Amino acid sequence: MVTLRGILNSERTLPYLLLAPLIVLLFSVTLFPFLWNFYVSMHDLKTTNLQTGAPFVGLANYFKLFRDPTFLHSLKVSTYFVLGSMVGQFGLGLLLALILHYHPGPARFFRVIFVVPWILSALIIGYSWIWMYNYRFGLINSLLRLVGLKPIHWLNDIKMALWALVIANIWRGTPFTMLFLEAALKTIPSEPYEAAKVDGATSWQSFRYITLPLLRPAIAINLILVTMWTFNLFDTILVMTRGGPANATLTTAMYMYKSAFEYGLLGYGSAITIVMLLINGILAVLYFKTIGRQA
Amino acid sequence: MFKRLWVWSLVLAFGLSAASWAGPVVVKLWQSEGYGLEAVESLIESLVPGVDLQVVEYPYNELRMKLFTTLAAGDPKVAPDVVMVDSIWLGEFVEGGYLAELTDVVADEAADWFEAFRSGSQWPAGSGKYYGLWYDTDVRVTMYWPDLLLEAGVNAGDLLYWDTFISACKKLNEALAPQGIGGFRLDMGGAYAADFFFFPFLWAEGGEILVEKDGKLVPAFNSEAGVKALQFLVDLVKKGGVEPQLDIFWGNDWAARKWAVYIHGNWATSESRFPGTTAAERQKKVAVLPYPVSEPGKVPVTLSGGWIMTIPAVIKDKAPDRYAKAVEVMEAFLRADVMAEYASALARIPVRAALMEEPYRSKLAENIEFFDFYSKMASIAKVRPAIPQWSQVADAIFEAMQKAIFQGVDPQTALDEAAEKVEAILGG
Repeated sequence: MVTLRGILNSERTLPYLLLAPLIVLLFSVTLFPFLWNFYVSMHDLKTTNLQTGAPFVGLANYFKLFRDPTFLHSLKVSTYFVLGSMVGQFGLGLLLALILHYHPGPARFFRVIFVVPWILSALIIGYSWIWMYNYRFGLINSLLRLVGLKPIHWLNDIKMALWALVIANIWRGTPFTMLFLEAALKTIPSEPYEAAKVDGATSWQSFRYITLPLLRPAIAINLILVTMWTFNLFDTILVMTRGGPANATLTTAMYMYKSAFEYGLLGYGSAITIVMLLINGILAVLYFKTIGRQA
Repeated sequence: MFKRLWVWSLVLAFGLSAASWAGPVVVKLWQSEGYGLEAVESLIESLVPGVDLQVVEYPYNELRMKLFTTLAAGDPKVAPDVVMVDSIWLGEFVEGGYLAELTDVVADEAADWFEAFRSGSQWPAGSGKYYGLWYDTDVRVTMYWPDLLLEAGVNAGDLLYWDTFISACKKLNEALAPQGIGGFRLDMGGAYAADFFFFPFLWAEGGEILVEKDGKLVPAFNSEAGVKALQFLVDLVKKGGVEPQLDIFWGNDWAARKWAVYIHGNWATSESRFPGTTAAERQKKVAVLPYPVSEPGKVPVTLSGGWIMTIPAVIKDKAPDRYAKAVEVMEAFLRADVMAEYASALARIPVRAALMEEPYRSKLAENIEFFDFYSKMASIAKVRPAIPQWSQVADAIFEAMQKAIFQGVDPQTALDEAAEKVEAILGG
């Protein structure tokens, strides 16, 4: 006879029982919204038919997406935005992490200073950069004028606007990479370095053949997080350019926001979200396969 | 007999106390942040006895989605009794079935409203089916600092025509730059730029945004009038040296004398931008003009926005008692004296003819600078089509403006591309 005591004492069922509350929680806060979002993306749900019921359209929203030149354009913009931000954040973050790691004295002070952009709200960052980029009164153009260079139309120029956003995003995101990699550097044991020193390795060789390989799992996770956050970022863009000028900074996340919440095309916006999720998933797998596995 | 009388007295006493314990009926009104209907809250409560008016406000962008999600639930318990919707949301809300048809409540009153606002309170516009009434409006005009114009050697009359406007901007920029003051502020930070800088010029040239063709709305903004209007903006940037601005401070920076000339809403000349000043003092400080036109003889047009007071359908359909109270409250709000009180307190431009007459006009003119000019502009203003796809249409037009101004795309090509996009949006 199956008794409660029997279930609780069973090695097979008890773990599942203990995991059940967490599984239910995870299902309700992550899987359910995802499934619901997918369900919505299969319907022509708009703000105008929330009450009457949206017709089922199957994969039509997805087919429409890949015929939508604005969506395809937004993917291109996102690619540049993510690549630019990632290279900048990772390069600078790693450099700062190494400096802080090998110079622990002043590190404490500079760590606090460097972390400020990360703890600021995206809206404050957006507005601050708008002012810094201002053509007439902005700090950056004032500095350019000071050294005899011509001021730049940072946010008004179709060719410059995206890179202006990338710079602002690098400024915001670098502290995270710095802290993350600095923490990872602390976990590397000193023995391999000592052995390398005995073998006559230079600092660069130690970095190239010891530090980097041992940092790989952290680098992989960092790149995944930075990529996802940058790909999904929209609040700073919303404040700084709203996707303009002429859609030059219209990232996929921004287009999703516009479609769902400004145009009221909730089903279409959901389809964009699902595609974004797929892209994030594919990138995560790729990172792990290329960087994580080698580690 | 006495026993029965005693019992009935008790019942009556309990009934009366119960009625007094029940307290006033709560009527919830949702508005956008800063709309300010609480200014007449106590007046409404005195006009509709037994009502406790609770004005709840949400940030502009949040209000629309909050209304959709709340009203779509179809539960009167969570729905507000009266709501203020942006006039450009009307089509979307009516087509979604969120708003009650209020023709029987407001049609008679609406006869006093200026044509654009009367028609804009109906859906489809001009159909005779009312879903509320436009409560207030604003007008967009050219505003300037006369002393800065004088300093730069520019005549105010130069701001009346496109050609002279462009040369005036150039002159102002050159003369005022050393002081850190810009000549003319051209906002290009969002689709709202079309409201300020494209539609009024398009209309003045005889063009339209959309027209009805075979019972369907089709784009018309890529007409000759539209191309001329967009070319004017391109010339402003190229020949006038005007630097488009991506940020917007809704008139605060113009009021702080960062710019000599601005085309903006009348709120930029109000007390909110010049704290502690009277309307008469503001009229002495700054000046206003109609939009510039391409040539003498052309009539300037302005664009007006505003909010529509309405009642959710769920209240009318599922809570008849609350609907009756909401109608009472709405009727009180729509009284000329209440509207005048509100317009005067918040410096809003009235939408009805009665408020341009005494006894209201004097009080309004005392509190609202350039009142007669603004009212005149409002009476001939045009409004945007409140179709559900409006934000998509506005974005497409704004994209064309950006392409022409920032990318150097020929205005006709930019507008044709936008028209193609809009055609798909309206047809899809």
